[in-house]
Amino acid sequence: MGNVVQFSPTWLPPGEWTCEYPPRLFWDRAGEAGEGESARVGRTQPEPRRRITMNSHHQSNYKRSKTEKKFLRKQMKARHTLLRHEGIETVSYATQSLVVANGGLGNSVSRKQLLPVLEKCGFVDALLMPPNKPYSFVRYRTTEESKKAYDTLSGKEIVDDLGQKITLYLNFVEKAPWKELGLQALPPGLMVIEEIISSEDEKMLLESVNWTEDTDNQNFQKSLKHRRVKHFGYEFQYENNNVDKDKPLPGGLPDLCDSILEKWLKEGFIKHKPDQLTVNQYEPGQGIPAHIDTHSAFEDEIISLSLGSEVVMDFKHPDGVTVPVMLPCRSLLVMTGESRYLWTHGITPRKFDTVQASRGHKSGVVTGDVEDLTLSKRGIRTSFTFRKVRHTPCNCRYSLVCDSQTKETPPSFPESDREASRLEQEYVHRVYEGIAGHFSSTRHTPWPRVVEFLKALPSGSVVADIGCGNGKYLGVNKELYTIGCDRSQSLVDICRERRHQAVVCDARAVPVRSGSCDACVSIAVIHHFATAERRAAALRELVRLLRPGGKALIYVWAMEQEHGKKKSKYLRENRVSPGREEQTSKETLAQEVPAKHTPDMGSQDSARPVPSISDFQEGGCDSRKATSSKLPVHTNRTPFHSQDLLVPWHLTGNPGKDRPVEPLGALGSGDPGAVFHRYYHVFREAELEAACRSLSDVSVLQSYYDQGNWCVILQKAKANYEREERRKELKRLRGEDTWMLPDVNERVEQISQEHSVKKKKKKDKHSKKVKKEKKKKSKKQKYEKNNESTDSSSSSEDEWVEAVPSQTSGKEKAWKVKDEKLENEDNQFIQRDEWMTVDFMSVKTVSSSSLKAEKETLRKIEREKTQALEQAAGKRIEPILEGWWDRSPPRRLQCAISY
Amino acid sequence: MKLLTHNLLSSHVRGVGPRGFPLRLQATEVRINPVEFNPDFVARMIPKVEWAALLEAADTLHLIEVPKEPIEGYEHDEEFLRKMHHVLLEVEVLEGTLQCPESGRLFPISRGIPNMLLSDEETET
Repeated sequence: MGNVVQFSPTWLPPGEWTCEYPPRLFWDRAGEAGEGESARVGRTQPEPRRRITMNSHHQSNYKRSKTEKKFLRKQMKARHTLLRHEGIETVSYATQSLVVANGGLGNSVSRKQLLPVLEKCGFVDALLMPPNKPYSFVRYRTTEESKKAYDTLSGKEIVDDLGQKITLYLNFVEKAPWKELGLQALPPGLMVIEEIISSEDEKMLLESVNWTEDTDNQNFQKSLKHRRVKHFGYEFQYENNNVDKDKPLPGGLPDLCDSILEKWLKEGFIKHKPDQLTVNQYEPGQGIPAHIDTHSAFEDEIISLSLGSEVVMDFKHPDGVTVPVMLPCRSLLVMTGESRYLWTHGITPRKFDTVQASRGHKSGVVTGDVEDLTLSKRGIRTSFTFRKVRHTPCNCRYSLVCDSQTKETPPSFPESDREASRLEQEYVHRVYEGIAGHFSSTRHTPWPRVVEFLKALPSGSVVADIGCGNGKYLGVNKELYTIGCDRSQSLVDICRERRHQAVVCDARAVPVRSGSCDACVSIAVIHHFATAERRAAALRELVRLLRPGGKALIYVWAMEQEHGKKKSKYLRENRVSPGREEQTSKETLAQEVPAKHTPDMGSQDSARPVPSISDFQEGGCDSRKATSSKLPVHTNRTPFHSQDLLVPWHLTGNPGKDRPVEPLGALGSGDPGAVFHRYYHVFREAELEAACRSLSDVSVLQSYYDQGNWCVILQKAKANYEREERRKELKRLRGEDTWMLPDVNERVEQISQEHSVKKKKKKDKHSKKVKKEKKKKSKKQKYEKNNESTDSSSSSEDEWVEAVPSQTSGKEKAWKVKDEKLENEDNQFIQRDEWMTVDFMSVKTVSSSSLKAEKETLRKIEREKTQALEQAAGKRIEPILEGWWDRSPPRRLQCAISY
Repeated sequence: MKLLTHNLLSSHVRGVGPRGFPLRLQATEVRINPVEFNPDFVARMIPKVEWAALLEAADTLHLIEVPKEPIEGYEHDEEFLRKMHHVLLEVEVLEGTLQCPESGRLFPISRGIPNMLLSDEETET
């Protein structure tokens, strides 16, 4: 094993980890073909030759039979799968520990079955069986014993708990990667009381439920897809996860239950007497999705009696902590406080539960102690869930997941940066954390034009995907080095699982060094920022990352979901039946409250479809109409009526299967059917473009509409760096720490005007003339330039697609703040026209080169001025700078600085 | 987190600016993930690397010796490119921290993911 060297990293105890270095240097050399194998485990499709030679040191080199070859292939595949999916690295030399592929709890192999098999080969030091995994780890006392196990058990068939034959594949590992988890505590407010009723009572209760009754029986009975249910006292309605409080079922609770409840009350197990009962019957393999019982429907205390068979119920905190709790037969589960209001509970549909081998059938938390886990076969379990119907709104402390409290306080339009930050925190960040899994499962198809952009980038480009979500664009082009970042830890986790490079951060503060990226993408991100300044900050940050000349693609959701008389995919996918979404759909249906008046849309209004009356009727908007600053809630797959709004997201429990059933409810719970609201600022036509144009040293290469999104491809000006630094320095000297954005609305107006007159301009002969002249000029200029000795920044100007500041017309508008980008409109059109016709990727030299002549002369003058400025910078900069600000256009100065 | 990613990351704590680079790396768990060798790709990455930062990072991880600077004609030097391929793309820091050299702010790396999220106060401009 010449190439396997101990890595001796000081941060790991010796022997904990080895690696092979250099990883691939050896395996193409003759005679060493098999040696580098373990470094190649992660590669796809290893050639057969290697696959066979890899075990040469364990078996003598004779010609292998077909079955042996087949076995080796499978063995290799197991190693491959372990590395790829679980990150478990196997080694090709003997160690004390082995990973037993197929011999895991997730494969229906229990400790009871596996251990004797393993013990035949030697003394088993430890057998680690991680829950729900199709493999386990065994450690023998000596390497000889483990080698014996490797030789005798690899490929051996055993019979699992279901009576099926399973072939084991063993491989050596250096260490088992599972850390023991500490003992977990029960969720606060949770109690499990064992043996609360006798076996006789259990039998009586079970017999009292007559599942064969007619369906017209008053005690409503349903056969749900996943289990059978029956209601007493009040009928639980799965449509809204609530009860009709005005329609109690006749008969109330069964007498038998009544007396048991009285007894529990007297003994102090419960504090309130329930008036609603739901009986559920679960066959092995059935379950119930994780949910929180609707806050507004039931009082605090919810109790559940387990009969017939034990089960493990999973409790989950919104932070992601999961606590599996064993509910033995004849035990009573009492959920109060936090465990009732904040934690979700559910039963995973499966035939076996992973339970503690040492605890038997006792209640309590099932820990992740992998040395003590085994399987327990489920039987038919019947649960009696008693609840007390609530008649007043819920006022629990968990307002975030409380439907009573959330509905009454819809967020307002943010008035300050702090409010905006809070709004984003609650209605963007928290929501994505909550819906990450479901969100990701609905986001698998990359948008074609984004892919096009990424595929067109030169090989070896460094790309940052700011707001990468589940990372669906990170692997689109293997020739790029792509880093993703997202605000949501859960989404970044998904990226990581897919083996992408990803970082958790905010799009307004990206921890990537300035000018290091050849390209950036920001797909469906910027619309989540709640103020124009925050959106601009995100754009500026994007530009900061770009190297001079680098390009960024930005997508935001459009207010106009119909463009050129064509409806966007978002509108087209509207289902005929209102109510429930399909999991593939982008958004789902809810109600809209047109509380905030649609912002003035000017002439664009006519192009938008008139909102249907039903939009306004659905949501019960009366209560909210009065408060005008409240954010409206959008109806999924309908046109937008406001730029700032909340868009509902409906969690579905089992994507691809039928709708989840059972009590649900509160907003923000991990509950299937729960509705989350995400804040959006949908962009009007030209708004994004205007925001981009207001950035310094950026040129817009392309601005387009794609399936309900406004999109911009921008390019950072070359030699922008020094200029930026210089400007900052000047600003600092002047004491101007804050600079306001040019008024975006004004800019929007300006650009839309430009759009409307553009068609005329196209045919304008004058502009063509100007174009021709420019081309002439530029040729001449190029010639001249070639004769000069050029420095990098001046030659880069050539590629900088930018508008011309030469002649200023009287059309310019006064801006709130002097903007470096005030441009002659005529010239801008020429530029724009050219960009539209030329493929953006091939745009290199545009007419801006015609500026050279002018710039050259300007530079001479300006250089002198700059020198003067620089001299004055340290001491008194005021007088000169004032002149600088007042002069128009200020660009001249910048040219000089950048030079 | 690969070392190439580390080479691109920089502290973004308010007021730190370019002095936020390079982030000080501390690793408690590192894994080598084999990646297919693509000499052209590696060669294209070399000029984008801040060499001093890479040297420092490789040093803290006790990796094989990285040349003090890219050797001349590296585009055709397979041995050099393989070495850099390994250092830049195959070494992954799974657990550890990144520290801002200017402000001292620590960012955790957990399961290979650096968490660089700052509080509002830390980012305000």
